[in-house]
Parts: sequence; C-alpha cells; structure tokens
Amino acid sequence: MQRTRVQSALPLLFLLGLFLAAGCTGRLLPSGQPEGGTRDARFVIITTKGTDTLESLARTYLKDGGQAWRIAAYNQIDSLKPGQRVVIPLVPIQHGGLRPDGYQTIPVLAYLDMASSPKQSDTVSARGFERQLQYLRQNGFTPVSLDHLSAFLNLRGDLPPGALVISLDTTRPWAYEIAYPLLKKYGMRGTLFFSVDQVGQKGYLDWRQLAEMAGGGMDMGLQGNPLQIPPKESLASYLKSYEAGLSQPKKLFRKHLNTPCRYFAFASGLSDDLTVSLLKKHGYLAAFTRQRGSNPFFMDNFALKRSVIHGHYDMQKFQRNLATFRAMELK
Amino acid sequence: MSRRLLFMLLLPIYAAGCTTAWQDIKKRVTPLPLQYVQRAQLHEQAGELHQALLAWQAAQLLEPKNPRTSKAIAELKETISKRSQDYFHQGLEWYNAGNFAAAQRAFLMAIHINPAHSPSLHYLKTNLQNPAQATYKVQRGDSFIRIASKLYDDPSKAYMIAYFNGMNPQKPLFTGTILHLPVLDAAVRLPKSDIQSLLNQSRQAYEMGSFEKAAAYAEKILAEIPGHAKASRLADEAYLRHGKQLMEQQRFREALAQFKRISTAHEKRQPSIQKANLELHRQALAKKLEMARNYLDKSNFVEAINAAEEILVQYPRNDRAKEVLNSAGYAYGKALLEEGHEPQAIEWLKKVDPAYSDTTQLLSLAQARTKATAETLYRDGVKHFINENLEQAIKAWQQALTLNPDHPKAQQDMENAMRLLEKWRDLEKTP
Repeated sequence: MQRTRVQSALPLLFLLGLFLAAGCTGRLLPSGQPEGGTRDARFVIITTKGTDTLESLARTYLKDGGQAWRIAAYNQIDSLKPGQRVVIPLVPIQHGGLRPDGYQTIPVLAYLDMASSPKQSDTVSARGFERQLQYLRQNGFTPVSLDHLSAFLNLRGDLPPGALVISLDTTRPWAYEIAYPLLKKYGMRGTLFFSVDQVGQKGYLDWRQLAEMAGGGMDMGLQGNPLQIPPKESLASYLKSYEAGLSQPKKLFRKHLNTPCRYFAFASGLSDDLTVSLLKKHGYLAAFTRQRGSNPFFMDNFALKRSVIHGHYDMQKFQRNLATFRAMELK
Repeated sequence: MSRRLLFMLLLPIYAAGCTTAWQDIKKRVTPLPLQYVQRAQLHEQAGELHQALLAWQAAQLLEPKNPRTSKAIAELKETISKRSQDYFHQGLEWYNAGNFAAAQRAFLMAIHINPAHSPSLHYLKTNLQNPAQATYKVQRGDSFIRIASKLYDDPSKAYMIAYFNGMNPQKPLFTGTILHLPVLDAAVRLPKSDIQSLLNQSRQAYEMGSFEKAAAYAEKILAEIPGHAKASRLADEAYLRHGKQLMEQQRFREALAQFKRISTAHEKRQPSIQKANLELHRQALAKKLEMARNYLDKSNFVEAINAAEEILVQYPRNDRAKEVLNSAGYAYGKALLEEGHEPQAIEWLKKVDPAYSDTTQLLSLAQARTKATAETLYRDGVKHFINENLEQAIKAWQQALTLNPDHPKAQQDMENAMRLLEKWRDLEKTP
C-alpha cells in the first residue's frame, strides 16, 4: 500500500523537479516583451538570444565592444543567459564617475624612453614595462582611448572603474619595437605622442610604422613645445609661424594616418594659455602636461596631468601613480 | 518507509542545489518594471537622485502607462532641479568667500545629482582650476575686439580670448557671460602707457649722450614687443653712437659688440663693423709685433722668428715683421755657425732675406763647411772599407750623405758595401 502511494507520487515529483529546473534556467518563463526590444533616447530593453554576449550587445547597441562593462554594471550581471531581459543604457550611467563617496580619477602614464637593456636609470626596461602591464591587467585596470577620456571629461561618457591611459612620448623606434608589441600582447590600448618634424629621419619612426600602430589600435597625438618669444623677431610673424607649427603637423598627421589629430602633449611638460587658445582654434580636444597626478572629470581639458614613469621605479612607486578614485562625501 | 525517508532527504538537497538560482527566480518573479521602481527607490534613499531618475525612466520605458512612474519622474526632476540650484548657490558662496575646497564639493554635489548643471561644471572646470586667474563679465555692447582692446590693449587678441573660452570669435557675445582671461607671456602684453614712457626715457637719454641708457630703455620695449619700429630705430642709433664713442677711445672690441647689435638692415651697420674689425686687426698686429720685438731684444730668437712668421702669414708685406724675422734669423744662424752647427745654421739662415747684411756669405760658409765635413766622413768610410770593416764604412757614408746628399761617390760606394755585407752574411750562414 505504501509502495503504491510512493509510486503514485513519482510523476508529481518529476513535474516539481522539472518546474524547479525550469526556474533555474528561466527558459519557460514568459518574457512579456516583444523580441525586437523597446527603446527611447536613454535605454534599449531587449530579450537576449542564445548567441548574445555582453560584448556583442555593446557592439550592436553602443557601437563599441569595449563598453560591455556598462551593460554589466547597469544590470548588475557578469554574463548573459538566453531569454534574459537586459536594459542597455545609451546615456552615461555615472557621469564623471561621481559616487556618494567620491569621484573617479583617471591616471595617465607617460613613458619617455624605453630599451631592452637600458643604459640609463630613467629609461624603462622592456621587462619592467611588461611587469607593469601584467600588474595593470591582474588588478583590474583598463586602458582607455583618448576619445573615451575626452567624453568622460566633458560628461558625455563614463569610464569603467580602473580606467587609465598609457601614453608614450616619443618618435623613437622603441615605441614600435618594444612598447607596441607588449601592449598588443596584453590586449591593452596605448597612445603615442610623436613629433612630425622627426618622422622619417634617421633613428626615428616613419609614417608606415605609425600607420601600422594606428591601425593596430594605438591612439595617436602630436607633441609640441609651448610658446617661446624670441627677443628680436617681429611678434606678429613669430606668432604666425608658431601657429603654423601647430597646424601644419596636424595636416600631415591627417594625410598620413587618415584620421584627424585631436590630442596634443606639451613636449617640455609645460603649457601656456596662448598655445591653448591656438590648440582650441585648430580643433584639438585635449592637451597633456607632465604634471604628476590623476585627472577627475572637472580637470581642465588642456592641462591634463600625466605621471612620467621612470626606469628606476619599483612596483611600489609605479602603483603610487595609479589613483583611480578620490574619496569625498558627496551627499 | 525507507523510500519516504529518502524522498524527505532528497527534497531539501534538491532545493539547496538551486539556492543560488532561487534568488534569480525571485528576481524573475518580480516584474522587471517593478525591479526598476525598487531600484529607483533605493537610489533615492541613498541620495543618488540622478541614478534614481534613470531607474524611474527605465521603469517608465518598461511600463509606459503607469501613472505612478510618470508622477515620480516629474517630482524627482523638480527635486533635482531645486537641490542642484541650492548646491550651486552654496558653492558660489564658498567660492566668493575664498573657500575653494568647500566650493568644489558643493559644485560636485550639484553635478552628481544633475549632470546637466552647466554653471557648476563651468566653475569646476575653469574658475576652480586656477582661482587666481582673472575673469571678465561681458557687459552691454562688448565684443571680443572691444574686450581685447580694453584688457590687453591689443584688439588682435580678440580671437585668443574667444578660443581660450571655447567660443567662436565671429559670434556675438551675451551680456553677463563670464570669460576666462588667458594669462599671457609678458612679451605679448604691455600697456601702451608703459611703452610710451620707455620710449620717452630712451629719447631723453639719447639726447643727453647717454647712449648706453638709451639703448637699454629701447631694448625693454623690444623685449615686450619685438620689432617695435620706434624703439628699434632708437636702439640702432644708440648702439651706433655708443660704438663710435668707444672707437674714439680705442675700445674696438666693445665698439664692435655695439655695432653688431644694430639691426641688420641698418645702412651703417656693416661699414661700422668692418671699420671696428680693421682696427681690431691692427691692434692685434701691433701687439704681436711688440711681442716679437721683445723676444728679439731678449735674444729669444726662435720665439721671435715664430711670432714674425705668424704675422707674415696674415700680412705677407709687413716690413716690420720682416725686419724682426731677418734680424732674429741672421743672429740665430750666425750663432749656430759659430758653434759649429752648420746644418742648423743653414736652416735658419735660409729664412732670412739673402740681401740682409752678409747672410749670403754666412750661408756659403756654412754650406762649404758642411761639404768639407761630408768629404772627411766619406774618406773615413773608404778607410773602413779597405780595412774590410764594412759596417763602419756604411755608417760613415750615410753621415756624409746626410750632410751632402749630392756627394758624387758616397751613394754608389755605400750601396756596393751593403751588397757585399749581405753576401758576406750569407756565406757565414752556409755550413
């Protein structure tokens, strides 16, 4: 008799198990939304398919696979499940990286010299650079493009926590021979600030190498010096030639790299207001100094801080240049 | 019974297996619009009003016809607007009181809840970046040119103010706009009044004959405004007159320095430089001659000859240098001859003008003595040869040839002796 009761309960048990399993996958729950999703200017709401990933959604809806973190963060998920409803934010979700407990800051690292076997203590070794990249990858740092940085600075975009910029200030071959391959190896984005005057000269990079790096995902910008007034030259003609010195390289940049130049680094690290006016006039979006520190969104776009990394830095010193958050009670 | 027990045991295990999934199930059971409503409420409680607004807006997109959502959005927008304004005014008060850290925090709070609050952003990105930097509030009737004239005394700086503030110089300015004024290098800004004052001082100094001072005042203007026509002319005239003064005082090097500072286009620059250079050369020549004569007076003949030759390389017709060279060469050659150093005497006497004193006779004497010594050495060599002392013979003939390379027999005899010596050595080696 007892055996019969258990036997009769088995189909019920099977159904209950099926129901719970379905609950785990969620496949049997109705989505309640049409397949194509819903959208307005701020959001797209979709129901995921089996092949969807965070990256593929970011590519489709945000036009940038690198923005997958935004979908993950807003939906508080790490990955997608088929049939899941996902809200994709089309607008920044955390303007300027502002939080109730502080704000995000973006470190910009600057490498001025690198060699396989350095002869000077300031020169960063290839091994040292690789160790630094490994550290950045293992500790959740994400190198971002200058366009993303610019959007962040203008409150038009947000950046992942741990965002930073890796910049190289040189027209020397080490950028192509040492730094670029290592950045590629670790899947990290870098930025090269070079001087057009030096391109193609003996011992310097040529346009082909620069184009290859740009094609490989490196951001490109120009290097230049701040204004210096010579003692006995006509001011008007000097300013004219100085302005030409800022605009001509920009034209060559566009001609050879087939992309507009929007970023500038002061070679000596110092900026001046007249140069800044001229940079703005010629369509630059940001300029970098060599003042040490990280950049909050409210930093002046034409006086951005960069921390020069020297060869004699140990990992502790290197880490001191990686501040990505500044605590401040904002509520 | 045992199966019931098994069933009772399995059920909790089965349920436990899905514990993590249960949260997901719970989440799924809560309708998505409601999830966002809950999220919005949580954000509101945490003071993250902008995040709350976004969550409400997502909920509205998911459930457009829910009047509660629309109402909440409208109310929250009003709260955000009011509170961000309050934060901004608070920030402004701190800013005006000079407490920039507190001002920054207030502006950040305004932006945190209302990222579109542009006045707060402006203060954060411009005024607070360099609080000491001057700003200008646009007044009625202002234009970029007018402001540039007013503030920089130079209408051509209009474009610079516009671009520095990220504005189009062609477009009109609105009254009340706060402009950030670029800090310029001293070379690109100087009030006109200062320039005029420096110009007057320069002129006064020039008229009083203080050319150095006049030039210094003019240079101050040129350091500020390179190429300033009046200052440039004044500086040129001052340098020219000061240079001439120095020439009269025979301070040719200082005069040359003054002339070189005159503008390259000035007609008197080049002739003045040439004149100063000529005088400098003359001065240097006189100094060298004096030095050569001093050596001669002290019977330091070699130094005297070297100094004289140095002058003659530059001025081959300089008679005074020739005179020193002849005197020193003759005296030194004669002394060497007297000491029996005929070859050296010949070397130095050859530098002397043959017409000088009895140089020709001394030279002939020295050469005759040399030839005689060479002949004696040749004969010594012959004697050694006869005595079958070939090595000594060769040595003697070599010496004879050093003194008289044209000796008629020494060369031939020496070569024969060398061949014989070689054969002799070969025979000695043969066992």
